[in-house]
Order: sequence, then structure tokens, then C-alpha cells
Amino acid sequence: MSIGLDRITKVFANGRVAVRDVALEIADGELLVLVGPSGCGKSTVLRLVAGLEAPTSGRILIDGRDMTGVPPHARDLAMVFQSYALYPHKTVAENLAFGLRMRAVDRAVIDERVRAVAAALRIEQVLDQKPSQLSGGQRQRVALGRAIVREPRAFLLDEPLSNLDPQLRFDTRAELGHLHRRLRATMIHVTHDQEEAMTLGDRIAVMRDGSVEQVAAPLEVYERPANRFVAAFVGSPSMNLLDVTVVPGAGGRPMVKGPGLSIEAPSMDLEARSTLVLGVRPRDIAIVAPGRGDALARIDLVEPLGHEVVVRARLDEGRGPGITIVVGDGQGRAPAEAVGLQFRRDRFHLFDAGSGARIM
Amino acid sequence: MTAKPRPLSVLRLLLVFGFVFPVYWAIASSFAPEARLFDVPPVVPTDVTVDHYRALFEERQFWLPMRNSLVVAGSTTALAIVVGTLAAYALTRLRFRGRTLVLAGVLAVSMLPQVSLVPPLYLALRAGGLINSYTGLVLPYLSFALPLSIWLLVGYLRQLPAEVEDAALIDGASRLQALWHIVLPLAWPGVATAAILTFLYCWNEFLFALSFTLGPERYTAPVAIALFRGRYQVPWGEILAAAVVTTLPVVAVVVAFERRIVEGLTAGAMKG
Amino acid sequence: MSPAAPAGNAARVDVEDTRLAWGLLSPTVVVLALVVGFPLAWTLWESLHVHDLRMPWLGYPFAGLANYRDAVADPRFRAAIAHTAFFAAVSVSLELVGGLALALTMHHATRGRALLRVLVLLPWAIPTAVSGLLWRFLFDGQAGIVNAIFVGAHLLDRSHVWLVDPTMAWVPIITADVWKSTPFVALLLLAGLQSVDESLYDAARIDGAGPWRQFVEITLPLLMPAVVVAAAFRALDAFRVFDLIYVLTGGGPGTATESVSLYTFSALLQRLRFGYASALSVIAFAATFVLGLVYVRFAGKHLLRVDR
Repeated sequence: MSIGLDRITKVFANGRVAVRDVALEIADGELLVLVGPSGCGKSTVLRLVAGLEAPTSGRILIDGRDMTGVPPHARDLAMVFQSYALYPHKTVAENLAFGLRMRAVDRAVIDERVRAVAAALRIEQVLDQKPSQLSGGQRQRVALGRAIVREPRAFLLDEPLSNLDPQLRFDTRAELGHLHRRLRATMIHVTHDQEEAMTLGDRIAVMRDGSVEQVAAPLEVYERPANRFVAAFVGSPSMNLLDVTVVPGAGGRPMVKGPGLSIEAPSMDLEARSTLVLGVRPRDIAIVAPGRGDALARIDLVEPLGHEVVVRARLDEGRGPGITIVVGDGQGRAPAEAVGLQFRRDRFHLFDAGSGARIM
Repeated sequence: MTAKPRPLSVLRLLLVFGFVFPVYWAIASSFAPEARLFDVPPVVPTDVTVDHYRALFEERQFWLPMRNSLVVAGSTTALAIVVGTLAAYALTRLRFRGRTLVLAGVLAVSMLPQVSLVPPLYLALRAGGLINSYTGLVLPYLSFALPLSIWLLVGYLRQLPAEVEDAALIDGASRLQALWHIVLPLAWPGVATAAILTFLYCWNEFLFALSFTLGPERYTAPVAIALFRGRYQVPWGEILAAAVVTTLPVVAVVVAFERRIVEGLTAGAMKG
Repeated sequence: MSPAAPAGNAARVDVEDTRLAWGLLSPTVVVLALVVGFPLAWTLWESLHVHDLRMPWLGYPFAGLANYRDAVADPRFRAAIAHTAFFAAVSVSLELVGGLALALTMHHATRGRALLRVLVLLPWAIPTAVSGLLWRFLFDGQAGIVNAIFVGAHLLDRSHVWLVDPTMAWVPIITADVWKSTPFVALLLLAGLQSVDESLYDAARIDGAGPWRQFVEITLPLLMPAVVVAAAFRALDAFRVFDLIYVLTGGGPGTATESVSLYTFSALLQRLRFGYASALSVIAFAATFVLGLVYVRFAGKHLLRVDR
């Protein structure tokens, strides 16, 4: 089933604008991840698609049909809630069967489907227990099972992994990916974890303050972020963002200059502007001898993580803004040491200082 | 605070004693023989008799007012809870224009002085031939029982997580199906509390019962006791015995459900 | 696929909700209209007429605001208001202080909390009329134990007949009300006490504050909302007092302890002045309404909050 949001806006009774003119197209069988900081409106978008909220303006299209006024039970969607929202007074089996019972499906068919799904999710042994008797991971699987057993046209997942501890989250993430490939169902997955977004989504939509900042495949969002917000949000540790200016340089080539930093602009058609923002990811910086490279900095802190080393430094010999570098090997670097930084030529970005939009 | 201050313990003892002693005294006196009543009986009675209790039921037929109280309080509570639960669900879960107005209205009704309703209700009941009848008490009782139930149930339902209902809606249940299969089973502790508190308020009620009944066949217990007349002097023995008897069901309810009662009282009053 | 008007279509989910909501509310609306709405409207109408059932030959003439003018000038009514205000002020103050003391002791109790709650709930649960009679017995001129105690402790030289003295009659009345209502206040305040974060006291102890300072600087300020709610509740109830006074003194001696509700009741069922009693009712209702508005103003944001 394809899902479309046609210029959806949602204003709540207290005046808060939760969703601002959002337009999205999700193709049949696609897994779209809605990601953004808390309060950005991603859960509201999900609830609008589900029919639990009605949009103030705009339309919700399912398979091309306008379903905006249709109540949730008629939309044939399944949702997995962050808190799982299992029926506490019913057994696991009854929880799984509830949706089918509401649709007056034949009892025998219900039993069979419940058993099949329980087996697939490895929860058959708890079918007769109540949710309060289960572990967090088991509850999460029951929540998933409740959605799967209905064989809906699409799945809506609201931060389903947030309540799991890190290792479980990591494993379940893979299971979700498998599930998607196996069922080939349309899915909208909401999360605040950008790593989850990058690994799970066919495409990701980054949201902020009710608007969609960028919709694209994960790699594209990572390598070509549409604006500085997306650039900073995706990737960990986040991209370094530095205020710079463009000045004409020797040989006609414009130069990008910042505190202790001077680098040749990647292209000729960059007119001199007062301020821009330079973005470069920590892993795209190499540490070289001071005086060489594009910038001069003084090391503040060296944090060895085992598999890589995080180096925090201050530009302009320690007088300027902070910058984070991640290298594979600390090479015996120490605080207070002056170093040079070399930026990968094909890996830095320039954003407009006012709008934040990407320039190159 | 880990250290229990000494003065507080003493204060507690004094306060508890102060609250309990009158009750004890009343009970002890109800067992004191008639003659001793008009002296001051000793603190621990040595002379006990059940004369007053016997007179209560044999001569004054006190079981009649008790039955009346039970019927009126029970019927009112049942009606108030059923109607109130539906209203509370609408007020907490459904979105519609005028919701705040209705809530404010319910609050306003619960605040008006009962005496304001007595004249018109009296005339209306008289016109309908309902003076001195059960219906003639249950209907006026609903004027405070219904807002009370609604208020308590609204307070309770607000605390119930709404996500479980959302899950039911997405699963394919209509609003009414969600109400029946999911909300009601999960809300029954709150409903029970509302029922208990409503029953207690009805059992307690005095003004309407005084105004709208004419004789012992329909007096409720509090009214009956207040109107006891003695041949020569105030029949304290029987009054106290009647007080004990009237209070027994209340005490039983309080002992059995004190936790619920406290939760209901504080949640309903301290919203926020 | 023609573009549907966004507002109309989007509102369909809400429209179904609305229809269901009014359906569920209709029994409530009907009942309350029947037993509250119409009666109040009738009372308002009636208050504008002369309607004395003992003088039916007067008919039912429209009297405008005459009843209200009479009420405002009526010395007995003004006395009733004064009595009620006095009663409310004294009772509520005592109940707040007593309730706070009781709540504090219960909060720090380590054992037997449930028993404590039951014992303390008893006065509240006993029917008001019954507890009124109970206190009448306790204050009785001859057999009352209060007299026995006071005389025995040489606080009085001889037994007092409390209920016959216009001033002293207030003592049993207020005592009975305080006895009955302090537990309720205590429970409300106890809930408030229990919601105060324990770590605040620890921080204060480290900062050097003793128990009294902790009480004044932490407990009292954080308890204020609960105190306001309790005070408003009790004030509303105290203003409407009827049962206690009827049973203890009947408003007497004479009319020395008559409250507003009692006077309205007397005007109605004893002197059958329906028109006048209705005017009194309306005034009482208006006053309660104003009090209620004040209450809602302070605590109402919480009460009327709607979440979804």
C-alpha cells in the first residue's frame, strides 16, 4: 500500500503547531524512517496517518484514496507503540487475537494465525501469560506480533526500540530489518536515534519543528545534507560546524577563511559573502604537523575509545572554537599539543549562514 | 525524615484519642441501662444491657428506616454509576466542542446549596404524587450523586493511559467496542471507588430525606433518629443505639475499603 | 479524485466522536436538567412572585425584586448570614490547623498507618445528623461527659447547659463540625505531604536546617496548593451547613444559631413562604457561585484541564 501526506498541517487546541505543511510519498513496500529530535512532530505525523488525530488541513492518502476522515479501525493499518500498549488484562494470545476478533474473523483462522505468529516471534511459551509477567523484550515482540497477525496493509512503528536496553536494541533492529524484507510491507518507523534511521530505512525523512527538512536515502542524507540542521543531526559524533567567510584569494581562486583556518574553495563560482558555515565530519579530518594542512589547532582532550580515538581541539592555537576529530590511531597525541588539521577535499560542506541551506 | 520526633508521636496519640473517644463513648453508653444514662456512666461500663437495642427494633421498628436507607442509597448509587461512567468516558476520551463547558457545569452543580432545590422539588414531587416514596428520594439524590460520580470517574479515567485504547482503535475496534472490551475492565477499581463514595454520601444525606418524606415507612435512618421522641425525656439510649446501628454498615465499608476511599477522596479533590 | 474541503473531511473523525459523546452524555443531561436545571429556573421565577401558601387568597402576583429587597432588609436573614460566616471562618480555620497537625503525625507514623486511616475516617463517614446527635449527647446538661470533664477539672464550677445559651451553643456545633471534617482535611493534606520529594529535606538538613526550618521553608510552601483546595472545599461546605445545626439546636435558642440554609428551610417548610424562600435560595446560590468561582480561579486550572 502506498501512503501519501498531502500538505498536512496539525495545530493543536492550545495553539501549538505540531506539523507544518508536510508532504511525503511512501511507496508500496518501502520502509521510511521519520527521524528528528523530540518535539519535532514525528509521532504526530504517525498518529495522523493512523487516524488517531485529524489534520487541521491537508489530506491523508492511502493507495491513492483520500482517507482523511476515515476512523482508525477502517484504515487497515497496524501500529506498534513506544510503550507497547498491550492490553494488561488479557493474555498474550488474547492480545494477539483482539484485532482479528474485532473484524469477526473465523475463530479457527484466528487460532491458526496467532500460533503461527507466536512461533515466528518465539513467544509461543508465553501465550497464556499476562503482559505484566513478561520481560521487556518479550512484551516488545507481543506488540509486534499483534501488528503482524492482522496482516495489515502497512505498519506504523512509534519508537518501538526506545525502551529496550542497548544490546537488545541492536539485535531487535536487525530483526525488524529482516521482518521488513520478509513481509515486503510498507512501514513508517519513527525514532529519535539517527543510527537506527540510517541502518533501517530505505529512505529517511529528517524532521524539525513540524517540518520535513530532507527526505532521501540514508547515504544521500549523510553525504549531501540539505541544510546544517540535517548535517548536524545525522552522524555521530556530529559534524563540526564553523563560521567562515569567503575572500578572494591568490590566483583568482576564492578562499574560505575562519579562525586559524584557511582552505581553498572547491569551486570558482563562490562569490565573496560575509559569512558562511563550513561543515566537516570528525572522520574526514586528518591530523598532520603544525603549519601543514588547512588549519592550526591545539589539542584539548584525547579520548581513546578502543577502536578509534576522539580528539577534541581548539582552533587558532586554542583561542578559537572547538573542533572534534576522530582518528583510528592517537599516534601519541597529547593535550596542549599544537597540530595541523587536513580536511578531505571532497568531504566538506558549505551552508548559508542565515538559512542554513546547503550551498555546496 | 528518618527520625520520628517525639512530640509528634504524643500529638498523634492525643489526636487519635480525641477522634475516637466520642465514638467509644457513644457505643459504651448505648449499652448502659436507662437509669445510669442520666448520671455519668463510668469510663468502662460495668453494667451492660441490650434494652435499648431491643426497644429500637421491637418498639420503634428501626429496621424500616434502615431498609429505606439501603434501598435509596443503593438505587441512587447504581443509577449514578451507570449514567456517570458513560458521561465520564465521553468527557475524558472524546473530543467535542463544549466539553469544558460540560465539565464546568458538572462542577457548578456539585457546588450549589441543596436547600435551593427543596422548594421546586417539593412542589414537583407533590404534583407527581411522589412525596414519601422511594422514587421521590432517588431522583433528588441524583442531583448530587450524579455530579459526584462523574467527578470521581473523570479523575480516575484521566489517570488511565490512553495508549491502550489507541491500540484497540487501530486494531479495529470502534469507540464503543473499545469502551466495552478495554476501558471498562481496566477502570473497574475506579468505578468501585466511585460507587463506594457515592453510597456513603447517599447514606449520609439528611435534608432531602427530611423534606420529602412524611413518616417512618419512608424515613431514612438519619431522619428517623433525628425525629425520635421520648415519652418524658429525650430517649438517649435508643438514639445512641440507633446511631450505632446506622453507623455499622458505614464502618464495615470504611474498614473494608479504606484505601480506595482515601484514594478516591484525594484524587477527586486534589486534581492536578 | 476530487479534492475534498480539508476542514470538512478532516473533521469527520471528530464529528463521529462528537455524536457519540453527546449520545453518552444525554442521560446525564436529561437527569440534571430534570432535577437541577428546571428546579433552579423555577426557583428564579418563583423568587420574583409573592407566593405564601398560608395566605392563598393573595394569589400569585408578580412582585419583581420585592422579595430580594425584603431579604436584604430582613434582620433575621442578615443574622443568618453573620452566623454562617462566623461558623465557616472558625470551623475552617480550626480544621486547617487540626488537619495539618493530624496529617503531619500520620505522615511520620511508621507503623499502623492503615489502622490510623480507618480510625480517622470514622468521624467523616458517620452521617452528619447522627454525629450531631452524638455531640448533643456529649454536651448534654445532665448526662453529658463534657460537663463531667470540665467540672471535674475545675474549668467550670457547675454543669453548663450549652445548647440553651445563645453564645455557648456554638461550641458544640463547631466542635461537632471540626470533629467530623478535620479527618477529611487531614487526608487531603496528607496526600500533599506525601507528594513532597524526600530529597528536598535531605538537602535542607545538609544545608543546616533543623526540623522547624524545614517545615517552614519546604513543607508549608509546597503544601500551599493542597491547603487552598482543602480550605475552598471546606468553606463551600461550611457555607451550606444544615444537618448539624438542625439536629443540635434547631437554629436556637430562638434563632441564635440559625444558618442561611436553616432559615431558608424554615421559611419554606414551616412558614410556607415559597416566594420569599426562593429569593433566599437564589441569594444563597449566587453567593455559593461566587465562592465557587473564586475556588475555580485558584484550583480550577487543574480541575478543568483536558489532555487530548
